[in-house]
Amino acid sequence: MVLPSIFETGPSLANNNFIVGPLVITMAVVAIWEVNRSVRRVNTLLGAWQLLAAFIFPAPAQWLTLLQALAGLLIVLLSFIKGRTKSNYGGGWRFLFTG
Amino acid sequence: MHSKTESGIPEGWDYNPSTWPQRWPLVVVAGAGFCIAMYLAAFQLGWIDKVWDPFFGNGTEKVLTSFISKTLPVPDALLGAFGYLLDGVTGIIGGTNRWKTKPWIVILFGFAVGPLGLVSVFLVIAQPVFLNSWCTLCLCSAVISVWMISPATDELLASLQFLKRVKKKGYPVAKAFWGNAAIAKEIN
Repeated sequence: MVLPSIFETGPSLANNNFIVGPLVITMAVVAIWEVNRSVRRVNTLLGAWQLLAAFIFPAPAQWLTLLQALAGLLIVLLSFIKGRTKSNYGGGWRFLFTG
Repeated sequence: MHSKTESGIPEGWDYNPSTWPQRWPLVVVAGAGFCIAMYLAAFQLGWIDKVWDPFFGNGTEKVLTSFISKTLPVPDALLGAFGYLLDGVTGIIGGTNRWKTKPWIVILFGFAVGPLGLVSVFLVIAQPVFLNSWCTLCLCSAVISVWMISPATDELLASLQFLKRVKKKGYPVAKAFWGNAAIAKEIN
């Protein structure tokens, strides 16, 4: 999100990151609270997209492509961290859709 | 020792999401969001002719006078302020058992917070993509709206689970939705 202000990244990659960046941050913030922890899985998908985007959108320099891919991979890996869960929520959101 | 029904803790939970320590921080944060949004609205309404942006120069002015901000008949910052006001008011109404004594207000609160957060994310995306500018206070307001989503939704979850249990036990859901003391006493 910040990089295009400093380096020339190419418009499509920049726009892609201007869109996906806020979404990743939003999902991450929402998932901080235990009741919505499962929202982190949306970031698994977004991170995978970011990894793919490194190869879909041309960048003017190879290090930018690498950085994009690494960032995507990092988002995917971090999304697997469940973190401590200590509270109970009566079956959570799932309860609303089962039985 | 209080029974589960007296403590206001929903079935299967280990805390009550409708207590004041759970709720007042959200009301305060909504108040802060309201102040920011009203300040931005003041610029859009012409009450002030300059708006503060510590990082992006005239970025805020560009964003607040953009074609996106003019899409609706009302200045969008004013809509944002109304959203925060709704958050604050619906956050205050109802006692500490409101997840089962007033599901309607909890659900209204949830719907005020959720869409406001989502619209904020869209506007954050729109800044660089459509307007080529950033607005510091708009970003602050977006952070506030997104931050509020999860703390508000635990109450929402409790109310929705309650209504499901009401339905499962054969009681009228619509009655329970608007708040029915007898049902609230029977079911947790």
